[in-house]
Amino acid sequence: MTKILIVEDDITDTYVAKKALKKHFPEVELHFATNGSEAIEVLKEQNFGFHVVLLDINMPLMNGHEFLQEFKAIHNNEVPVVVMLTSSNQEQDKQKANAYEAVKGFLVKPLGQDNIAQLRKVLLSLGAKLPE
Amino acid sequence: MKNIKRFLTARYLIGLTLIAATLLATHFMQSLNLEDQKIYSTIINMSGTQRMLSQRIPKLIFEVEDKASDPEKKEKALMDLQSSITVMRSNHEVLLNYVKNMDVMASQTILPLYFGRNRVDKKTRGFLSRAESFVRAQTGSEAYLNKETYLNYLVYFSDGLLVGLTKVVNAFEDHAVQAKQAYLSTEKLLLLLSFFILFLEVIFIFRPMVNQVVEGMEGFDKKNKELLEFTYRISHDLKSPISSSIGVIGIMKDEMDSDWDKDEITHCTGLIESNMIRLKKLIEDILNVTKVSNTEVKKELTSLDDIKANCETLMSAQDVKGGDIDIMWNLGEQKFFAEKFYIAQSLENLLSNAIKYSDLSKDKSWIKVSSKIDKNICTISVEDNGLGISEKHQKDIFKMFNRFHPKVSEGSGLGLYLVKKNIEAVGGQVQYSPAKDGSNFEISFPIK
Repeated sequence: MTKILIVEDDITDTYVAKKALKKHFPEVELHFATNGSEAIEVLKEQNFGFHVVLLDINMPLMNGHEFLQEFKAIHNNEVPVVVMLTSSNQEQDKQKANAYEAVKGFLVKPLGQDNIAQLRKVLLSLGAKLPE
Repeated sequence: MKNIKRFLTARYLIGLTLIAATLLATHFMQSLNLEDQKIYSTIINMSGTQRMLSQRIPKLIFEVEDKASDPEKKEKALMDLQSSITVMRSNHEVLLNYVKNMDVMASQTILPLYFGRNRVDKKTRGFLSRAESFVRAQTGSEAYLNKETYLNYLVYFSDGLLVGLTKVVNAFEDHAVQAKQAYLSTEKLLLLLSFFILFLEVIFIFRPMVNQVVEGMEGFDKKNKELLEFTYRISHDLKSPISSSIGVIGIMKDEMDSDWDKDEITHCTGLIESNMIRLKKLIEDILNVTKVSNTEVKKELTSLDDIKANCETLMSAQDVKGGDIDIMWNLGEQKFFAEKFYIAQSLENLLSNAIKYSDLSKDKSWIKVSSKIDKNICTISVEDNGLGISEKHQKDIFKMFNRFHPKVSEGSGLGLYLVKKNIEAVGGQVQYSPAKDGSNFEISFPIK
């Protein structure tokens, strides 16, 4: 079973992600966290058993950058990988995120067709079985 | 800016005036010294001439006697003699006059030479009157005594006179040297004083000036960074409700042909609506923040009741509703001068936060607004039994774009930042302290 953890504080974006992913990857299991520290908890609970963490940057309590730092400190397997999904297309945010080995993609919201296609590539590279 | 300019100009003026004063003092000292040295050299010269004349006059008398056979040479020698006598007499008067007007120290060493044991005055006068009597005898206006009588007198006077006049010359020279030394040490003192003044200027004028400028620059730097951060966050926060809404619209378009139920559509439009409301609130907050930066605030006659009324108007304009929350007002009645609108706006922000972040798990939510006035400071505190703010976030609560309650918040993250800006703009302070059941915010501001 392919599993994705969506880390997003905004209820609208969470809704959009949930709808789009369910439509394009109906067989993928979705989990949710509303900020970095909650995501860490979920990851630990599930023993890091995810393929992809879809990560927003601007979140309260623990933002995306802080999450990446924490994630790097507690985990060094190849999966799950992190794909950024943010409304920021600031170069500084991109560079900061891409500096982490776990980050395999940087998607700018909203989660439209192009972004779905990129996410599909990442999932396939991880050996996920997806229908055409 | 005006204040900085005034501060710098005042310090510049003081600094430059002090430097100019020391320069003037040095110049004054120098010209005084130059004048003194000129007088000293004249006096020393004159006393040397007296010494020389005391030897020359007897010689000329010999010559007049010697050249008795040659009327032409005798006449010339006699004229020389006469003019020498005139010069010596006038010099004597000038020197005496000078010595009498000298400062006490100098006159104590030189006056005795003239009037004390050496009796230079008496000897000079005796010497000159004998010489004049000789001249008169030669021109026939007085009976000629005889050569020996004149010469005896002259030799008698001139011997003592030479010693006395030599002493006078030396005394004048000593006096000049002493005066020069006094001048040099005064000048040294003046130089030290100048250095000391420069040192004081460095400490009290130039260093504060540099500090003021550096402080100003640091202020600009800080403001600039704040502005950059502001722009970054603003552009993100303005963009995200729009991208979110576009996302929802995309979903709706995808589902257009499927048999969506009404609830789903309502949910989607609700999401778009809340995003638009968030956007509107954010834009209003941004406008308010920039307004605080650009408006000069004025104090007006008001009271706490007046501020409360103003705050309630703002709350209804913002559509903030307390609902079941019990808001308890306990305000004083005093009237005072203060920047009413900014205080009311801050209070409105604190109240709408207290309402927004009330703790729904509690039986009864309440907010207590109370006030106290101590001297010229009015403090309003807003205490609630809401969610509170966890300890590790307390240091960041007044920074812009911070939100601490992910599940509740739809705030712009500018509310408390705006409160701080407002209160600081009126010269006051805002403080947060954790209360027993929730939060406690205190705003204090100066009143007149």
